Amino acid sequence: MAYTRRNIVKGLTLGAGLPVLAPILAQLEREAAGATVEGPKRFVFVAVSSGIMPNEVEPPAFKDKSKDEYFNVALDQYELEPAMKPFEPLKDYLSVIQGLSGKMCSGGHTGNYGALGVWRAPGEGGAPPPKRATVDHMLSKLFPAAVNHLTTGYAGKWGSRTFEGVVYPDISAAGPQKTIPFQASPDIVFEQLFGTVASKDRYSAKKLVCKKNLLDFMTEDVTKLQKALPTQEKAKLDHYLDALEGLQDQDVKIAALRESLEKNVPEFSDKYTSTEAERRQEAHFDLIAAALISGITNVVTMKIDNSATFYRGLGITEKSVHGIGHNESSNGKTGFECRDVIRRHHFELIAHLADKLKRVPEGEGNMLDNTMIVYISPAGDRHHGKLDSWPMVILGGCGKRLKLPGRYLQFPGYGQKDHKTIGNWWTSVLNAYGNPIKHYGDFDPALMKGGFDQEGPIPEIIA
Amino acid sequence: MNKAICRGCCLLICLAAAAPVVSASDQGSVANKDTFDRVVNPFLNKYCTGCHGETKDKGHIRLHRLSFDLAASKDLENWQKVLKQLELGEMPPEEKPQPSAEARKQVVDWIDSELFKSGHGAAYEQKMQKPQYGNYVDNDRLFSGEIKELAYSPARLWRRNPSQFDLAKMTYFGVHSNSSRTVGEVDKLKQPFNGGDSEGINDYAALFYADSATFDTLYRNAEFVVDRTLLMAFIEYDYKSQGKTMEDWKADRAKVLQAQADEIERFKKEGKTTRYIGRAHAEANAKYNLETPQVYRDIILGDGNPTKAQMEAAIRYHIFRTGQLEPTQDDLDKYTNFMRDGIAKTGPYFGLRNVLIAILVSPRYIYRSELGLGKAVGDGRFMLSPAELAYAISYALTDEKPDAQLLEAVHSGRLETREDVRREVVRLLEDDSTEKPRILRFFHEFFGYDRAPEVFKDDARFFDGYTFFHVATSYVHDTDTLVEYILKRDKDVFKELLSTDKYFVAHSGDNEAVKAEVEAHKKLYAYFKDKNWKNYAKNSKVKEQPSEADLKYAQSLCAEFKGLKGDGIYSLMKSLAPFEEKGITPFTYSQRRSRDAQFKGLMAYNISGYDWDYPVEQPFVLAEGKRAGILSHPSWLIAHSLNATTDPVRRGKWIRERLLAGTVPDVPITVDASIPEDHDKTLRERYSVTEAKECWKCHVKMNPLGYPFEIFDDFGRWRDREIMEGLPKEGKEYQTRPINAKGWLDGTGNKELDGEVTDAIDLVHRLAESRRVQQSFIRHAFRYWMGRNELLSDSRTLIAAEKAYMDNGGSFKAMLISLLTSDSFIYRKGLEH
Repeated sequence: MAYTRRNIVKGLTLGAGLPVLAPILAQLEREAAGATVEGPKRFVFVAVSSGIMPNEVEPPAFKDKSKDEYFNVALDQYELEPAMKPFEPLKDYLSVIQGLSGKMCSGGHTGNYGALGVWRAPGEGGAPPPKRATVDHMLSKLFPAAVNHLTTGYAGKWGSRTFEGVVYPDISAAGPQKTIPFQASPDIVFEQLFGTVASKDRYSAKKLVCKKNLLDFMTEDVTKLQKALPTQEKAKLDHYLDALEGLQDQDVKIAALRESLEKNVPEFSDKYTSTEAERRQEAHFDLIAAALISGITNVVTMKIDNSATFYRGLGITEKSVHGIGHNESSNGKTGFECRDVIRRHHFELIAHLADKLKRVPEGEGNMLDNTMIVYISPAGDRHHGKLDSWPMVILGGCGKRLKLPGRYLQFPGYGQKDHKTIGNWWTSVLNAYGNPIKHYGDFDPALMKGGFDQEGPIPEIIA
Repeated sequence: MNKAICRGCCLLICLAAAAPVVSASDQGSVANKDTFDRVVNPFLNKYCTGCHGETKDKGHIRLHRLSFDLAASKDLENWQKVLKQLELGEMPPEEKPQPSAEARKQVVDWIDSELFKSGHGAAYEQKMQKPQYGNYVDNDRLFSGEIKELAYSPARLWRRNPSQFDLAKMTYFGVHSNSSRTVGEVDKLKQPFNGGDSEGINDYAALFYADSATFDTLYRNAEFVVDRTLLMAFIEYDYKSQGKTMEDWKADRAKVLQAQADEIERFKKEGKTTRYIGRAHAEANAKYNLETPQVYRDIILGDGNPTKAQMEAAIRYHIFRTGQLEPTQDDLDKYTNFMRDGIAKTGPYFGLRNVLIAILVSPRYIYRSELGLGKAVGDGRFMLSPAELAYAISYALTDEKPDAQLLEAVHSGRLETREDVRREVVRLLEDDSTEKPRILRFFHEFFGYDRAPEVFKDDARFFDGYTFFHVATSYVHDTDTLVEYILKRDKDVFKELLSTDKYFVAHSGDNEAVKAEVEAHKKLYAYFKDKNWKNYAKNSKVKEQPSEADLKYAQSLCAEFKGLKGDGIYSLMKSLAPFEEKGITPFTYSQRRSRDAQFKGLMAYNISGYDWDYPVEQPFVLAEGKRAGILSHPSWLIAHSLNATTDPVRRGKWIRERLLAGTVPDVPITVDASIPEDHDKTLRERYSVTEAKECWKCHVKMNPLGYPFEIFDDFGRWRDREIMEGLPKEGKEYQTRPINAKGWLDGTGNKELDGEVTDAIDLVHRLAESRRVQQSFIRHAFRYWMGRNELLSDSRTLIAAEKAYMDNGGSFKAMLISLLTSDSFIYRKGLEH
């Protein structure tokens, strides 16, 4: 039992974190000794509802090209699809993945955990409890920070109309049975990340003191209670004490980042409390950029919208994302035209985030070099996903771990020779970043029937 | 074979005495080398190293140079393997020379004691506490009557389970809520207690604890609940601290409400739907409807210096609402001190808030105590205290905290003896007004049929355009109805469950109600059949409505038709017509549960929707000789199938473990199990790869018990030929192959039952006759209600439970009462008193 560790942490006043500084000092020492030290890798998963159709992210030049065969070409020779124009100045960092299937997941309006977890999780009102940790969360374990996995977003479950507070979009999981809640209110995210340096709640300092008092009280109380128990039952309370310690630990880590947080705290404005989708999304992206740059987190999952979202600020006032997905026209535009407008807006937000990261020098390059932003839809390849292809747009240098930046990759179509699934894809990503897992995700029963080898990574994309 | 259990006892005693774990390095030198040289090593050389030695390494295991010093741990894993194989009698293989029982025991004892001496016993013990190792205790010995040890359970904490939480959160808000809107807020409280992810009975006290994710969720829930509860008083406190009053707040609120009203007006003007924005407003406003209880207001809005009595009142009130019993004076003192301290540091509101949160995240809230705080009963055992008993009884049958009578019994000193416990258990069992969800849940966890909806089936293989999930849910309901029916009769319960040919299909279980409903439908049809009912449809080209009198008649037929309008009559008539035209009994909407279940889902029972003459009186004999008992229900068959095929191996394993109290070793990691894709062969033919010598050693325990179920396809449809989905169709039809459903039963311990079986129906009838199967049922009931695996020392409890079952004509209730009044249930051992 980690009495020693607990006592050390408990004995510290906030901010004077020796254990927190220790790794940093060690790193400085290594750097002084001339070693090149690799910084953390960063990930942002942007989950969009209503699917990403293959042609929506495909350069027009490929329109008539067969989707059955593998091809891997440099994007810089091709003109981008019009809605992707915001990525024009970042083309070296851009990649598009097509042709990965995900039929082991559930299609339709949403596959929930499927996109990041590769299992069948049906349900528009929420999925059954998760089967395992999703890939975003597994990556957060590889690159821990004060807040290991930041989960935010404009919206929760598929058709939910709650845009405030804690929501459960059922797309990320910390393990079997452990769904991860998302925070939909930008002002609360602001409070959680930057509250210690710039709180908007008049009582936030008091609440922090209260929490510390509570954790201290509980630690003392539980330690007393523990003494009265048989040994085997004592262990149960060890887990409890570890949890208390974890919370104290997080507070200490956040306190240790004070300077960096102060430097990067985003300017609080009315967009943090706005009820307009576009403005709230903007606030979320500001927070994500600030969180990554300040180092408070390395992994973010963001649920950008859901089927009930209205994009009134973009002039689409008559229909929600769901109606548009069914190609109902709104404000004189067809459903497809509306989708183009919305997608362009998303890409502008992502490009803006990428641009902010690119401006921060890191090692021999910049922060964007070490970041992977993934734009993916839990619905898959269309409003009612069929999942024979699961298109993704990726932005960032991916820390030189993946041979992706600047490439357009079309994998052989479903059932064709050398066809790959999103299981192979996430296995590759995990392998590339240091998790040697043999295979991540479920297998596609139909492909199994055809004798397809579905196991393992896709070696050609790992750098 | 029973050593694991004896070790369990030693471990607990040793832990209870808080003996420090002996470190390996301290003790390594005292390993018993003498016995090793004299007994163990010669044994290994004689029986093991021929296959696992210098020249051969079957299964990549070599045992010729094992170190006698387990503390050195280099051979630890191999020693544990040897122990397990010897205990289970798996090795040496049958065809090889066998050691005597005594020799086997000596070696087992030596490994066992060395494991403990070296400090490596605990991990093994922990493993043995898991549900999948329950059968490691030999069944015959357990029921032999030879075991004289007195039964008890270890002193323990038992974490709350998800169902208890679900109910508790409702109660919390239920008590508090004045409006149905606030009940919606309940959804904002998230489940902190994850269930086990393994199949079967697994809510074991030793396995679950609150980890950081649990704490995180609890803390979030607690903040939410407390902030909601205190909100109105907080607003008053906050306004006061800014020199304002509640009148100012009301004015501020009025502005917000006006803005909402304006927004709705604007929406209306723009011709937009206002339903959703209205709902969003209502949700946002709901929290202001909750009044802060006076006990809290007294502290928050008082002079900042509350009396001890005021603080205690607030704490008591809160603790009661969280479903805990009366706090002790120690608890009250502790929390009042914490509150006083908090008030001094952060003011009355935050001081109180922190205490209320602390109570909701405290270990006392997370765990229920089963430490044995009652009187000593001899042999180191202690009775559960009256309060502990009240919880134990209540949570055995319900998901709720003890009811008023149990609490009254605690306070009046009438919950202190076995007879007291019996009185309360019987009272709860006989009280129909008390919901007892735990009983049906036992059958879910035992049979696992409720997992049918979780199995992914490609809808198109069954029927196009319907969601299989809903259909599978209706099969679970059918099985539930049968279980409840059998429990109500309470005669030969286990035998009936396994072999009855009676079924419920799309039926509520209430014959009278269903009969009345069907009558009403028939009358409706007769009355309207010659009228222009087709024109009543909403989208009919010729619009027409039933007359006032017609409508009145229709509405009078049954409660369900009360709100009936023209369009509803049209829908009913349309669905009734196909039955009436054929002169067969229709089955009514309320029995269908979903459209899918009615017409398409019935296929799993080999029934075709519109041709079925619905049996109003149920249960009925569904298909004589073709189906019997729960194992031939679609729900069970689907729950134990693969995505596209049946699953003979897993079904066989299930029968071996759940019904025959047997064990099947874990899949060796060297096995790359895959069944060839040979579309020309039946599944059974393709499974013949498992008959290779090295595979068959384990598969012989499973496949012969699973093959008989090949008379059903993976949706549970009875068949005598298998459809070859992988082969090209002949015309419009799939090619088929005949089924071979022969199997082999062994392990009942009864020569008359063991032997070749013709199919699943033959198999389940033999199983239903088996005493061992009956005992296995009881062992699983023990695990479910005691929250742990049985030890040899529980022998008397199990024997008494079986006797109660048999003496009362196969009464499940009698067995349950016996278990819940047993030493294993009411006595604890291991706490230092």
